[in-house]
Amino acid sequence: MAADLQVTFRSMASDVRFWVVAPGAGAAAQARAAREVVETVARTCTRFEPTSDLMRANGAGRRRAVVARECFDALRAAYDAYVATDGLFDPRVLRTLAAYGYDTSLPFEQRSIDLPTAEASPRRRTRRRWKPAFDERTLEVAVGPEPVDLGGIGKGLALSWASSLLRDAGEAVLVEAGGDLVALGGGPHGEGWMVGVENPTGAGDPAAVLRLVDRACATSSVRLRSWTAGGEQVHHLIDPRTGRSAESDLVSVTVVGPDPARCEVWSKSLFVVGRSGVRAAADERGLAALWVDARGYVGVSRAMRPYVDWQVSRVA
Amino acid sequence: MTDRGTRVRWTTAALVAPTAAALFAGTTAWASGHQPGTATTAKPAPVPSATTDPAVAELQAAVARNTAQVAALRASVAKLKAQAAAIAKGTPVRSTTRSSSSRSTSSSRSTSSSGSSSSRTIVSKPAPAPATQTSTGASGAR
Repeated sequence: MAADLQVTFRSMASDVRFWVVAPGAGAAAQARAAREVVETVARTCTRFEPTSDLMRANGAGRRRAVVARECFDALRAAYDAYVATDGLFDPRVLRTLAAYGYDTSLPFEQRSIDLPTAEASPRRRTRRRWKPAFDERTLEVAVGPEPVDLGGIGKGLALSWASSLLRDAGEAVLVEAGGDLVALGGGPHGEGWMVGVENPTGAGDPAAVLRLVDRACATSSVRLRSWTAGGEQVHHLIDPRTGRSAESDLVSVTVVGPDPARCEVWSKSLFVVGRSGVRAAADERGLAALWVDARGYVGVSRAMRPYVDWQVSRVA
Repeated sequence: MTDRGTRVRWTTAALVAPTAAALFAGTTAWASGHQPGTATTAKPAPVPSATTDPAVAELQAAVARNTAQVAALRASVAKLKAQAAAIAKGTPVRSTTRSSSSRSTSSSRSTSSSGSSSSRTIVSKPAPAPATQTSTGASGAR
């Protein structure tokens, strides 16, 4: 039996990894194609390059701009998610992030980032319904007057498209980037991929261990991407209802499902909902969700239970 | 006036005399039915004796089993109360939940009271986290 194929590279400011168990003859070529997809999404959907397709569309505002297929599909997926979540997921957060000083890539691994000149309380704008325009034939899009960020959903879509290219590359496949992943097949031991849900405090045991087969998973957490802007603690998960960092009493939300982009969307949306409403919101929609609140207690929705192999009730 | 007082006395005597006679007769009848010097006592409780009836033996065994179960449940309740008190004080107390289809790693567990859940709550020290191949979380710095 051939040795497992492991491919790692850096993209979307994350470590990306493909792991193919018992790879077939074409696995290496499939991995190259999958990598190309990830890098294309990163190149066209980044907000940190003013010449990217996304930033050109943002610059055009209400006017139409022709964008790459990947960016077009990502913007359309973002709009679909906006509708599906009743606006709890809203990618029009770029102005807030820029006001917080997060308009350039920040070295979060170094911790304690302090941006004293950034705006702590960006002015709340009147939030109108998002009505982007799409032309499938010409790949033209008009995002509207407020610029959008495709960070999370872009990563989820990149994983989705890459995993579809790797689906039959071997007996089992893992595609992951920056904490989000797609787990296909039974993993290296045939019993499912064992996925630790990170302790949001960054220490000790995981909050839970999930056993995944043919499932995607995404986590929204404020552990890493938090910083001080204008003397106030902020983070990257923006509540579209206030236009500011979500004042949630949750510190992380993990969602499991068939599609990584949808997991990403709902992990963010449930985070914004907060502790008091997260269980009802997840159960009503049949979402498999696991959350950790600010006091460290771990909660699990009904649909998540079959995936939980091990769990603590409270993280240390 | 005198006649009226006399009539009242005779009427009272006519009522009291038969009552006294009946009471005397009843008392005499009771006394004749009872031996003097004996006291009325409650019947003694039956003394358990060894039996060979299998149905009774089975019931006695069931009683013993249930008694032990009650004792164990009382101990469990006491432990849970202690844990709840510890949590209320802010002391971290961990318990784990595992799917019923997962491998068992602890001998001390109690079934969820809801009955609808397929998971069980382990009240003793949890098993160590199983080995993982990857993790999900805030590792995607950007």
